[in-house]
Amino acid sequence: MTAGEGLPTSRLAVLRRVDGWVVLCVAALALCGLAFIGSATRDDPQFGTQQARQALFLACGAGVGFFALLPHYVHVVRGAWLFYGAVVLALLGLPFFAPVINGSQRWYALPGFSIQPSEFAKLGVVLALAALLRFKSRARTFDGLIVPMLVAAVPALLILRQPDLGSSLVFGPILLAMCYAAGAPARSVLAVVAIGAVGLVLAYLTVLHDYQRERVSVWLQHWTWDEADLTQTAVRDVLRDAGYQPWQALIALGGGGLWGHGLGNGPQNRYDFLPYRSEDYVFAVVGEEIGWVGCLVVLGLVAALVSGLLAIAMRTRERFGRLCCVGVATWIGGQTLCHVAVCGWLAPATGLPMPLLSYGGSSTLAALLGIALCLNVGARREPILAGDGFR
Amino acid sequence: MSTTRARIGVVAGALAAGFCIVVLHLWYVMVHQHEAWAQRSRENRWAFRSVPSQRGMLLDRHGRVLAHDEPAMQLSVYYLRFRLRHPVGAAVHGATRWAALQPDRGSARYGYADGALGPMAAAEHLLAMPARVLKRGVVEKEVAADLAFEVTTVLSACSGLTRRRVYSALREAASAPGLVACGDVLPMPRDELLAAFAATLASLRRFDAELVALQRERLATRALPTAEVEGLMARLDDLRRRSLAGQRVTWTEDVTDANGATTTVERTGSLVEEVTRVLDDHVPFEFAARLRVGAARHPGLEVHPSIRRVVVPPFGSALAVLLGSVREIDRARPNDEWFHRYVERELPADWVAELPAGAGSDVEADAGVLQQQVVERYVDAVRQWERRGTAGLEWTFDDTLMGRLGMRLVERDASRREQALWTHLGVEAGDDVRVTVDADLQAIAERRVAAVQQQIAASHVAEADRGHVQAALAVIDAGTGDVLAYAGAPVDSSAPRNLPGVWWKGNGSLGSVVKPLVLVEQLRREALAVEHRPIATFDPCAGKYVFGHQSLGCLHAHGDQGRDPVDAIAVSCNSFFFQCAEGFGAEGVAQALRRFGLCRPAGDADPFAACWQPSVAGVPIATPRLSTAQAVPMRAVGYGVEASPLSVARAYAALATGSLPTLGLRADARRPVVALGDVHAELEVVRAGLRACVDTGTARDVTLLRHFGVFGKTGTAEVGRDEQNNAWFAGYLPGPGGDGVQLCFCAVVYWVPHGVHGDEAAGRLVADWLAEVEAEPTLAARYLAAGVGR
Repeated sequence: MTAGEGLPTSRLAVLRRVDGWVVLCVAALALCGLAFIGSATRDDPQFGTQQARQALFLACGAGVGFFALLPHYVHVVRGAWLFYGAVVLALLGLPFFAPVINGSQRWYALPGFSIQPSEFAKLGVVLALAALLRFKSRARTFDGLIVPMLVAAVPALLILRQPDLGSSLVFGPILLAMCYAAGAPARSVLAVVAIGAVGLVLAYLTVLHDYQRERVSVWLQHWTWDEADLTQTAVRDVLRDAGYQPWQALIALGGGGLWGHGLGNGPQNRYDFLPYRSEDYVFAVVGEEIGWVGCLVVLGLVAALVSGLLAIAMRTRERFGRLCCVGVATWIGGQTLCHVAVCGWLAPATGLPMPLLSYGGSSTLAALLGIALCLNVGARREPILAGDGFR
Repeated sequence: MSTTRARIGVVAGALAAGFCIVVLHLWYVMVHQHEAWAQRSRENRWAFRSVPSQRGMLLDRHGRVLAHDEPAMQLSVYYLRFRLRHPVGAAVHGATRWAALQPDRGSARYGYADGALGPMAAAEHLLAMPARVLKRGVVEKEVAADLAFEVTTVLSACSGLTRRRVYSALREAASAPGLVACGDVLPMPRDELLAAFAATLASLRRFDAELVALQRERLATRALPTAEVEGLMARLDDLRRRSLAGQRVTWTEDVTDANGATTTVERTGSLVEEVTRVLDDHVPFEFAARLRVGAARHPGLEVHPSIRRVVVPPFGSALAVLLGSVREIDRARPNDEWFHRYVERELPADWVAELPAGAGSDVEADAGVLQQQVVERYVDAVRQWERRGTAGLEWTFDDTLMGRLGMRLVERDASRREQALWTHLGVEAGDDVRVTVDADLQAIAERRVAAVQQQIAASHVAEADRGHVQAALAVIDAGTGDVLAYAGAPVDSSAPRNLPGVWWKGNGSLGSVVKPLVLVEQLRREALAVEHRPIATFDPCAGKYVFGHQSLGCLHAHGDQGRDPVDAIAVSCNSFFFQCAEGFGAEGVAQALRRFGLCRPAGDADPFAACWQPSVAGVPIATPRLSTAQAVPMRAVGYGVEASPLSVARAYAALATGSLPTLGLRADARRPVVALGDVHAELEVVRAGLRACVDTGTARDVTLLRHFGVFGKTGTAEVGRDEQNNAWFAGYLPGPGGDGVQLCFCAVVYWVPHGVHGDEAAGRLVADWLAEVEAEPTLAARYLAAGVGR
């Protein structure tokens, strides 16, 4: 059955209005991801199939995205809370049903693949916040932001307990950006920032595991190291232990130089020095193999994608769609920035995939679904007659 | 709408700012600091792998092996692994950790010695620990993790089950209600687990006992005290204490500051438990192989291939001492100059410039940086893997014997597996060195020297005197100066310096063995009419001679024999030589000795400067010396003249051949021979005297010497009290043997009783040695001329 035969023409007509630049950026990033996942896992007996699996995830994501484009996104509003509730439930069930992998419970193991609810939780929070904040009145007072804060905090805390510090931190920028875009006064946003900061300190003192605290501590220390310190036994011990991953990532990036070693030729990547290089440190592989110029190109693609999504938001008068675009753009942009910052040790090691570039089915599917939603928003040109938002 | 757009613009701006920050940071790291990070990347993956070289062999003059390299196995302990993976180590540390959590047992420290706090008690205590302790939140997380690891090790090793299975059972039991002991979480009774533990412990103890026995046996063969051998369990206990204390390796380093001032700084390194400790450098293959098979039972005990130097002559023999010793370079601690010489000789300057084309442009660009590192790495590897001679011939011929350390430059991965070979420097074995010593002659010499030393010691009345007796015999080829045998007894050190007769220069007196040399000077001066007192004017020997206000003694009143040069040598008449010295004075005596290399030349213009050989490569002989403390006539009879037997033998070689050879121990080396000049007539007179000495003179009682036609001279120097005499005998055979070697020898026995003279002690030593040489047909054919001997 072809699309034209099986689906009403009016539904397919939306495809003609899809933002081609965004699609192009997504396709380019996805191909980059495939190339670097291939480079990172080449000849690896354990992870050698990741490139093919990622291609499959991308194909699935493209398929799901295609179908997500077809219905008017107004229907998504109705399902937003349902999606959010399902995600929260899935997060709640992890301690009971998820196996312990590398000391954390993040994935539901299914035959042949596994699902990471925290990736879908980002989309769930974007949808739920957009559904909440589409009413202008809610964002105007600080009280009105309490519920959105709770909406973001619940999955963030559940994810923090897995433990997955990196993913839980992504909710902060999403919340802030969406609240601000929804019209929250600057002082309310600052108050949210302050509450978030206090929450982070409390989390550091109470919720974080020893190894996470150690990563933060090593990150703080490393700014004070000079060449002489690197020869000290204590520092070398740290670099072999808690500081190993970010240090090796820095070596990979720094060793890449302006032009890099060439695809598949990065020694840090090729010789296994770089851990989790198809996932949490894929950008370090990018830096090592195609250099600073290549990094600029990849980050340019992400920036173009984020700009495209924000441009859709600007073009859209309808608040739910607009906020969804802001949320997804912040999610992808913020998570990318976090990932790159971790690779360059600008931020403590947290273990966060880079959207579309890192290996991961849930991450890829969630990102593509979010982008498809934004494309859906952008493709609808109907004027919203009922005022600013659904009432 | 415009407000909303502006807000979205702010969000976009914030994200853009974030992008700018990371891009700038990336530029700083990737472009600005690129070289530093590229260097770190290289340090990560570039590795030099070393292959130790094999030292050349030391062979005797006929090609028999005296010292060679032999593959061996090194036994070491890596304590961190032992305490984590070996059930005994895990039980001891686990039980100590568990005891520390109990208020009433907090101070208990389990160890490896038997007893109430021994390994068996530790295992019982640990397996009785409730599994609930391992549950999250009961004790500190890190302590629980360590305890779980240790209990898993013990249970897994004792049950034969996989660690995963044991750990699962422990987790399950930890979460279950009730107090299940760790020893009861498996489907195997705790008693059985403890029995298996006891068996492992017994196996470890057996291994310890065998290792101690092995080390004791080795020490016993070297006549070293065996009581101080530290066994494996004792070493483990020491490491356990250091591990619990978190002790780190420390060392001191000299640091030079910008002003050139050097200060000693104490450095701290890895934890002691993370450093591999060598238990034994050379365990036999059979021993090591057994440990490898049982490696699963003794994790943490490791064996690695090594090379050991095998010295064929028995330990404690003078030859073994002369051959010297070899040590690992990091223990031998050579100076920077040595390293500089070694690297210059062995490491091609452009080694890493030969990187293959396929190594890539980056590699080629890095070659310059690599070249800077290579010398440092090579020195490190040499320090770690190579060995050098530290004494004796091993030290003397070290440059030849030492091979070249092989090294390859590789790229390795994070698991240290080699991924690419860039270039390599082939390992080269050292060259063999053939020494002048004849192992058979040496063995006989050592036997005879030891025998005479015992015999003379037994003849002493006082027990204290017996301990002072020493003896030595030097045998050289009169024609070439090849050292054929050099024996000393007793051997009381492994350093050639302490070998009697080698470094030992006597007690200041050669005695009458110098008389022939003085006679040559006297006769030469007569012939040249240089300052002297003619023999024709000599007084007959009256048993004493008055020199100035001194009355000097002679053993007998030799009468007119004291006026005849041949008789004077034969009967060793002091009066004759007192008068010689009176005639040509102190300078004449010195010149007599300089002619034969027994006195340092007066300067470069000294006509006998070429005769001076203060040292012999490979043997740290005492430099001959003439003391001016003695009266001049006394110097003419050997008092105040110090020299080792080798130097005396060299002087007698000159009497035999008319040329002074240069002593040496390298068989294939050509050494200069110094002609004595036109002294043939004088030498004939001296030789007649030496022959008469053996036939009718002071050595006549040693009849064997006559049978071999020996030309020789006895000497007895009485120094200090009566029992401190030196008994000397120096001489040579009348001609070369089948190999063209003319034997020349000098024997000395020190601290002989009063009344024992050179002939009875040293002369007999030489005679007995010659008799044994004759008894060996091969040796007789080589060294004794046809018709010589009985």
